Amino acid sequence: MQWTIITDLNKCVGCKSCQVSCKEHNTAGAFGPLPDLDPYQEPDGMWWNRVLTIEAGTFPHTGVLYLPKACMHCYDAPCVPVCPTGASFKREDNGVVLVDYDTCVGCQLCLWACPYGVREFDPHEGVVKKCTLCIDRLEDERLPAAERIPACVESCPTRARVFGDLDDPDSEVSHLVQARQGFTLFPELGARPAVHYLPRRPVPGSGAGRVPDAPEVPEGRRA
Amino acid sequence: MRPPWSLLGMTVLGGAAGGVVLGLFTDAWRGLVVPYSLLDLLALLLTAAGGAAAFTHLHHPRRARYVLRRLSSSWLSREVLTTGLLGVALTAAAVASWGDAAPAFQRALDSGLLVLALVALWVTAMIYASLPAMRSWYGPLTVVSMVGIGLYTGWVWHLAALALAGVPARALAPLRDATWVGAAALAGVKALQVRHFADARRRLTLGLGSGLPLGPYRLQDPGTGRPPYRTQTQAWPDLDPGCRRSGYAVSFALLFLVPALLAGTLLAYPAAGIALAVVALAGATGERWLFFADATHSSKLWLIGGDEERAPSRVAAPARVLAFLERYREGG
Amino acid sequence: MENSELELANVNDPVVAPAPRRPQPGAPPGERRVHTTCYMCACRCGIEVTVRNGQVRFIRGTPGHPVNRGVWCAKGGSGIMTQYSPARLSTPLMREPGAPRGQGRLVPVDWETALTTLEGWLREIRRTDPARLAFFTGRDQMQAFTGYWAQQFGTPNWAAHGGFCSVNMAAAGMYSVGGSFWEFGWPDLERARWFMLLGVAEDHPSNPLKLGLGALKERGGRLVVVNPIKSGYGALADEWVPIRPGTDGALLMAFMQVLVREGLYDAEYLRRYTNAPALVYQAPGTPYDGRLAVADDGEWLVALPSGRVVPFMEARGHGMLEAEAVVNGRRAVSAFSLFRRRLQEADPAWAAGITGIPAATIERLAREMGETALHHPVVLPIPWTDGYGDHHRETVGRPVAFHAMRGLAAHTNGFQTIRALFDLMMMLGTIDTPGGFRYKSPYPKPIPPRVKPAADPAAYGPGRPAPAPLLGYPTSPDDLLVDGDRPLRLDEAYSWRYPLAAHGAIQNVIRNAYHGWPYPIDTLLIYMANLAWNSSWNTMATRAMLTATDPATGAYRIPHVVVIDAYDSETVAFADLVLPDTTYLERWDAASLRDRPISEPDGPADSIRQPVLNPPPGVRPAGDVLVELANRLGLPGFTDEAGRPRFKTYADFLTRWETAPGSGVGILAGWRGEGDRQLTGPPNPHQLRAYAQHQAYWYHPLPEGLRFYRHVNHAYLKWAREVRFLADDDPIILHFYSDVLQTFRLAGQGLWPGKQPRDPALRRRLLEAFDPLPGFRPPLEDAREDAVAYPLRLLTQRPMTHYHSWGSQNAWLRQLLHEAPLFMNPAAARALGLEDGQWVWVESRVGRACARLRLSEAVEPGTVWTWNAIAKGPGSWGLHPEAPEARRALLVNFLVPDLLGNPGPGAPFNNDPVTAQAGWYDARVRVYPAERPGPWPQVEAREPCRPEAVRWRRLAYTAGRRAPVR
Ligand SMILES: Nc1nc2c(c(=O)[nH]1)N[C@H]1C(S)=C(S)[C@@H](COP(=O)(O)OP(=O)(O)OC[C@H]3O[C@@H](n4cnc5c(=O)[nH]c(N)nc54)[C@H](O)[C@@H]3O)O[C@H]1N2
Ligand SMILES: Nc1nc2c(c(=O)[nH]1)N[C@H]1C(S)=C(S)[C@@H](COP(=O)(O)OP(=O)(O)OC[C@H]3O[C@@H](n4cnc5c(=O)[nH]c(N)nc54)[C@H](O)[C@@H]3O)O[C@H]1N2
Ligand code: SF4
Ligand code: SF4
Ligand code: SF4
Ligand code: SF4
Ligand code: SF4
Ligand SMILES: [Mo]
Repeated sequence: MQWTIITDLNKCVGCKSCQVSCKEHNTAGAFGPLPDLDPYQEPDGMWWNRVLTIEAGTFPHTGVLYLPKACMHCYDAPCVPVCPTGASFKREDNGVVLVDYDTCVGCQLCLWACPYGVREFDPHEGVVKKCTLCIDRLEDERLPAAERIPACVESCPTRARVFGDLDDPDSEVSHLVQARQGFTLFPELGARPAVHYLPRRPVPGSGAGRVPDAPEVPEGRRA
Repeated sequence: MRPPWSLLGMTVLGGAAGGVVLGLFTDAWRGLVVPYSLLDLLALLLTAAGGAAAFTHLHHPRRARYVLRRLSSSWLSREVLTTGLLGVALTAAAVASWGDAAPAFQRALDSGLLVLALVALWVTAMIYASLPAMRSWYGPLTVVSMVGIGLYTGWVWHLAALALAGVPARALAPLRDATWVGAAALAGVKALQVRHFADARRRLTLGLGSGLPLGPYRLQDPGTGRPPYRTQTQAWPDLDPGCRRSGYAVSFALLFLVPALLAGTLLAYPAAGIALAVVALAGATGERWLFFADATHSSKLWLIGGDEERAPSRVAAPARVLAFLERYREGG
Repeated sequence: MENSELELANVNDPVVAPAPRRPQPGAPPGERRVHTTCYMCACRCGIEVTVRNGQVRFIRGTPGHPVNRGVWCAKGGSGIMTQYSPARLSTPLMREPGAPRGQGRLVPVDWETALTTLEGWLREIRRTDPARLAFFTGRDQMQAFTGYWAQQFGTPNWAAHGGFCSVNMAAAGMYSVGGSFWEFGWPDLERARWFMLLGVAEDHPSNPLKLGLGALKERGGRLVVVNPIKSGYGALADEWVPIRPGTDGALLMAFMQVLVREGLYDAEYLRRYTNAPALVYQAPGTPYDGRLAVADDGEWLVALPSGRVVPFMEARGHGMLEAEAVVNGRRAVSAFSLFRRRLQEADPAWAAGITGIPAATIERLAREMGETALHHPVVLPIPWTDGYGDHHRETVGRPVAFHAMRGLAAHTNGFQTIRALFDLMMMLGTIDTPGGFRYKSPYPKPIPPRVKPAADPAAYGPGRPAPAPLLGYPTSPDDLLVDGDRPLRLDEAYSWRYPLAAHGAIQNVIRNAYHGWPYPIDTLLIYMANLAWNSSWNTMATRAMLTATDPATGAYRIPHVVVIDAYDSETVAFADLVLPDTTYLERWDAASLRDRPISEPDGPADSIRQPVLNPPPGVRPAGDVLVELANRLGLPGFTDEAGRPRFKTYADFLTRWETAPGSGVGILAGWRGEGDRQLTGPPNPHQLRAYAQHQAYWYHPLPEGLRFYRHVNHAYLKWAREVRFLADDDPIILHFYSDVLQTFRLAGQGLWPGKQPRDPALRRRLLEAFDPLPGFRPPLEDAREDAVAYPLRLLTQRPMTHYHSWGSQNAWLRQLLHEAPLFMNPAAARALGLEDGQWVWVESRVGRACARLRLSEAVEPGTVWTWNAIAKGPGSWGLHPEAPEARRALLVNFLVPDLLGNPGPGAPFNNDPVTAQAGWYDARVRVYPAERPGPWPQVEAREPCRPEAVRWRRLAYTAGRRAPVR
């Protein structure tokens, strides 16, 4: 089993709801807090999920892309083997990559090993923190079943995010990745992320003289 | 990368310790009579200081007991082991060779130490060289340059120590020549590495990272208006080209050119040994600072900028000075 | 800090106890969940707040809520940090004796002192001349209440924020279709195949629009975005149409030209359901000119193919779209013919020159929408009967939807642009059809809705309430609030200059109060608006007016400024008296059908807020305070004949107030009577509790047969009359041609038999602006001689993460965005020799400001823009005075001209001449290098209300687990 989140880039409007709901749930959750440094001056705080704004092309053929980016829960997570203490580990039963704060020495090597820049260091607690795939929600038996999904998936107002088991060929996420050429970031770095993105679809409609949008990802780019 | 002072200290000093051991090894094989224990002690001190520096990097020293858990996969675990062993061996050696030791024993001891030191240096270098995400460091060049420069720094110190201890010029000459050869070779390696850094920087494009083929891309927002400078070391902004150029010029000069010149005068003026040691240390530190500061991590794409020009920061800053200060502000 | 259940029961309302809060099964000890309505923006999503040990632990969308269906946005989730904002006001404040206004030098006072002081001022005003109270509200959602309060007080000078917001959108819709976009109507994105989004960055229904776009994309629908800037929703556009600001009218006219030329319009819809076939008198020089020809009973006349002229309904949809006839001896031409004639010049090539959009693109888009609408109808198996009594076996819809907001509205030509958009939708036959535009209850209303303010100057006087609601919809010049040429209202709403100012004109208030024009006032009461900063224009001048004194007496030109706010805004610093409000998590409140509805196209809905937490001791809900003031003043609607209070608190008011005694129509529509009635019924004292028990909302999905063609759907109209949405069940025929507008034009021509302006300038304005058919006229700023000197247009956009000024006090949200650079197209920058990251001057004709330049390919070259309301005045909002919001953020309001001409009493404002909509997006600027980096204009740092907060170095909010802040 490999739990994952798929984001449809055709739907993401960059509203950062997922970014905030992540912080919201986790700040007071089992793996928090996500501290805010200089909160009312020059602010710089911890976020496990960041929605990037990317521009491409030149006017008027401009593409604008929003890319929510949290831990990819990689199959071959490079952050795991480098960790000297075993604090970083990948759960065998569901593929979630986690940090055990009680054994983490704060060496930050995993920060370097992760290709995606999704691990953050809490200088105050001296440990590295990151997206837990909301494992504390997923496994909280007290929660109603509908709430046992990641906070960022639950909040997304365009419903661009889908949670599920990538190893189950019949799951919605697997179908989406198959049918829609789901791709991963930095496939060449060999981490084999579980988190996939669905590329922008070709522009529908008649097409004559249309303004091309953000470029599409060719088939076969997926890991 | 934000250069972490602890790791900088650890790698520079640990490397130098290896170099000193190399010096002792050659001395032993050349039958040179040197103030052995003192140098051994120096190596030990360097190793210990390096280890201590590394220790300050740990935010939970009391959890250090866990750090050997991942010997099977973590170069950092292995480093703790090998560097620790080296320290133990150096201590043992210092004790064992106190006073006069038989040359054969000395040779055997130094060979053993050297092997250990080389392994320790190699393991340390592998931490840096084995991370695919570290675009600038990934690959053998990092091992060669890191081990080489470490040995070279220690070697130069050893040379300076001998001169200061009054070892005759005749005996020093071959060591000086070796220093020249080493400096030239390492300057070459380093030059290759600088180019590799530049390639890594250039080849990292948003198009590449996102699997999106068309460009150019511009990162307009890393999610929080400004990069997470304080929670992510990789978010350190790119050096601006002028700073990089002069930085490399100075570090090459201090590490290779000036020591080579000083080594030349050493035979005539042993007191130059002090300058030699200081300059080499400065050069090594500068080299290592740039090794971190100029390194490109794949995630920099997502944190700092797009393809066209990776400005120091997407954040508007009121004045140049402020922008500069801001960059050097570390987490707290 | 633990909130015991008992304490909560008493929170700001002794009468209405909230529902008992049982712990959720399985919830951790000390944790409970409470449903309420979000107020982090005006979208009003349902939220479920988890409270742990008395602190907010989590906020999520209420699943199944009609507005947000369980999702929530970045702002909504961050409500936690707004609750614990360092900018919160904690006690009433008064200006330090002797301290000048505007510096934030305020001292705490107790509530009794504060209220007695205010009561004294108000009592005197009401006794002498109630109009000397100006009560204006910003982002509030209780206008049904504040409007009633002001009416009972007797001042005409009340309005909410609509004038500087989107009155063009509301008014143009109300005068065209008896509804509008926004909170009054909605694109049917679940069925649309082709969707055009014009001038929208975020809009009020924020989550619904995102849900809709997600649904559209899921089905592979086509999204066309018309906007000078491509961001947010624009990123998803299948086609981006980078239009020049202020020119959408031309684009829309050209679309219609192509549709008419190609026959791609829904002629039947126009004939049956709009007044496009109605006959218009062509009688220049007479009061009939341009008026619709009517029968004796006032019904419009149309020509049948036979040539016979009959009343509209009698024609049963056979009225000819193109006709000429002689009626009552006067020549008359059908409205559609007139429009067709006008469209002749409006071809794509003409529009291309104005809009910057290639003619071929315009032509293609028009064909796309026309073909999709006409050749690919959505057909639902829902039978219905129209107002003619004709039965339809199925419901046929046009899957072409539009949505528009301030990109069209916030221009001084916006009213007519939006009129054009509604006419376009009528042509495509998409009004209230599946896949098109759909009303939200209680709309559609008659066109325009039948509410009018009292126009008679004598209606307002000492000691008595105003006889009619203060805002409404004039139907002819006779309804204007003028005394000759002079406005009756301080903000000049319903004056000759701004006749259809249906939402008032809050942006005119400070300058007019300063000039004492049309008369001086005594007290300016500001509730929930930041009028000294981001909702002012020509901001430095406006701030100076707030502190200006009379040179003779030394007294302030505006004698008293009272601010009711919850946070330490820039405006708070200008107050003489500050009344601290609760946060939205600490009070009873309602989102009412009588206000800005939260209804969905499928049926009416409303909701409440309930106190989730106790307010701090020094803070009281504004609603309660206003009720108490009303009681102290003995305002008629609030007290009985004996002067006894009728309502104890705002919650009490929400529960028991009725539009008229015994009307059965109140603030909330759910659980009336014994809790068994909805929409109408006697007040239910336990109504709020019933809401609290039902996740804080009420939603009444209409039966399928009542969901479409509601303006002419007989079953719907009957039902709507029963539930008092409408006074009768007459079909509402859409105003393709606006007869109402023509009456004003006649007044401008001196031909109107009733009220007319004398001033020729006023007449000219009416003549030019009140076109009964839509068309394109450039924004007023463009017509100025100095326009060429300022070649670029300056816009703002709403960031999805911030709500106006109040997002930046939020520790989380401000991390997401804390700078407002000037975004510019790289080609434009190159032409000006400017580089990315450089500091530049941005100069308009009223001033200049500094900004850091950021290049972006996602903006049209003639436009520069920045984020709205991110810039902050130093010292406000609990932020460090050197915070990036104060140092590196551009406030465009410094640059937006407030007047069209020279300053002085009675000078015309930069408003739409029809509605008084503020022309925010007409501002023109030039950009050039700044010699020194840094912010400008330099606003002096004011005294903050809680200076200690800026020293917090680390915040690790953990909701009851450990200390919340360090
Ligand atoms: N997150 C968030 N949501 C909000 C608010 C907020 O502050 N933050 N504010 C609320 C309020 S009060 C309002 S009124 C609404 C406003 O909702 P919107 O109208 O969506 O908000 P604006 O930011 O004014 O967006 C105007 C858009 O029109 C574009 N535009 C400007 N001029 C033109 C033009 O001439 N033609 C066209 N086609 N486009 C043009 C701008 O580029 C911008 O994208 O949002 C509400 N919702
Ligand atoms: N340049 C430019 N200027 C604009 C616009 C633009 O697009 N461009 N948009 C305009 C538009 S559409 C609008 S609607 C206006 C909005 O402008 P305003 O109506 O002034 O809105 P805000 O700036 O949010 O100010 C609202 C005030 O309410 C306070 N507040 C928040 N919550 C509460 C509460 O619970 N109780 C009380 N009592 N007070 C509370 C806040 O602290 C703040 O001081 O801005 C206008 N200004
Ligand atoms: S919440 Fe959804 S739409 Fe918003 S940024 Fe995240 S993925 Fe995109
Ligand atoms: S910082 Fe913690 S989790 Fe990361 S590698 Fe070091 S010990 Fe492991
Ligand atoms: S994304 Fe980074 S932190 Fe997450 S599993 Fe992969 S390597 Fe590890
Ligand atoms: S899965 Fe949970 S922890 Fe991960 S990004 Fe989403 S909300 Fe954050
Ligand atoms: S859209 Fe507005 S009302 Fe809805 S959750 Fe977000 S802030 Fe709250
Ligand atoms: Mo607004």
